[in-house]
Amino acid sequence: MFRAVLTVAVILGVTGIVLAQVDPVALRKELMRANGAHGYGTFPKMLRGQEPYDQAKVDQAFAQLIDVAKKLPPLFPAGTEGATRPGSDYFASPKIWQNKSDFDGRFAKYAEELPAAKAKATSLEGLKEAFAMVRRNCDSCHDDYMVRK
Amino acid sequence: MRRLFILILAAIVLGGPIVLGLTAAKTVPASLFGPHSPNLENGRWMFFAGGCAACHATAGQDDPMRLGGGRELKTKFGTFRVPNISPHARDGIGSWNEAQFAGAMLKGSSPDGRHYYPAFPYTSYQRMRIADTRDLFAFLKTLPAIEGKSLGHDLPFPLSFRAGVGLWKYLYVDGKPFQPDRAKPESWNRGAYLVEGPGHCAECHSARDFLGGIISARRYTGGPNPAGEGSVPDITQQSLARWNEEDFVALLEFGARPQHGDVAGDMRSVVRNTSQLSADDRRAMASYLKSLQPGSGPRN
Repeated sequence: MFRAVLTVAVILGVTGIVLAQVDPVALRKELMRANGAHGYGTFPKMLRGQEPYDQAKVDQAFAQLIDVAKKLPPLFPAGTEGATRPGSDYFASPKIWQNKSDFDGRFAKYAEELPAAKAKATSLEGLKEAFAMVRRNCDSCHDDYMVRK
Repeated sequence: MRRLFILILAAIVLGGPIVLGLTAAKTVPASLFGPHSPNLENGRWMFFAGGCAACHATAGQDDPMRLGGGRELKTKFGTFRVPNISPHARDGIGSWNEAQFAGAMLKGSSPDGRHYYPAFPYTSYQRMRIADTRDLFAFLKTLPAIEGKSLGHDLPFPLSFRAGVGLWKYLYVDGKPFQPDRAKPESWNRGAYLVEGPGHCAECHSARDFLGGIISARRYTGGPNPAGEGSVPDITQQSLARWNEEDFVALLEFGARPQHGDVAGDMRSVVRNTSQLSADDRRAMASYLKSLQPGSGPRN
């Protein structure tokens, strides 16, 4: 009996730890913030002449955006409606789960356009165009699917 | 019994004109409209400072210059449908004159003498200078005329009764233009004018009483989103003391919150407007915003 209880406790405990590690809300917020560091840092700093254009940095930033775009879509499972993290007032709108195919479609379009945007970003002028492409995709979801608590 | 009857009659005879006087839609006298050569560039600034397109742009398309209206504002009072303010002669404001336009902006009155519901933020626009409304009117006249009137509002009784708005205005609309604070720098005053007047920031960023009027002491301390999900944040220094003026400028220019986050909800369309203002005006607004305390601004 003791062993059975212990086994169940261990299983529950391990599952709990695993679940905590892949908490989709915490992870998607972290990834969004990583994107924001480029969207509000790397790119606009170069575009506004606050930092010199640096091809290596631009390539690295796009590689990261592409990677994040792959990781994000599964991090919006049902049941995370209205969830946010301590210290953040911003959360995913319940509308996402009412229009899940539209939401997923916008992510797919973003993932599809990113390599094309990266290909354009080979000069400051090209980066301007590439960044506008990325920004349009951010707006596409944030306009309709992001809410403040 | 007879005495009571006489009293009631007296109340109707004497009270009627008082109520009618309170509920009559005020106008801006034509005598205030001397010669004026409109400054279209200033009109364009006012258009973006006022965020006209955020509500009046034709629903279901992205061009902010097509002002056919039709957007639905779902509020706790009912559903408002935003009117066409394009220069279309029949369906928009094409046949209005300057005094009628100023009457709408500064008094919340329609050219045919009805009250507008305060979903149209004349509670803030009333602070604007007449010259600015004239330039704005001239700018609006340069935009494409869009055909089609929007449907009427869906409001429950007694809100469907427009004369009641006159009483509401008696409580919440004082008709005073913006008063600069001579002790403060010019740029701060410019920012205060843009924020309190055309910018109408307090309309969403304040808590409201059960009649829908702003609670003076909670002006700028945020509250539930008046037209949608979620809430609108406190933007006074009690919450944003860590923000510097640069942070406010970046928000108005790019929609960036400190720590690299996007703004949400209707603030996104606000930023599409403030990003079109001059850098000086954004800096002026930031200087005023950085000084906000709960209850800042004019009181009714």
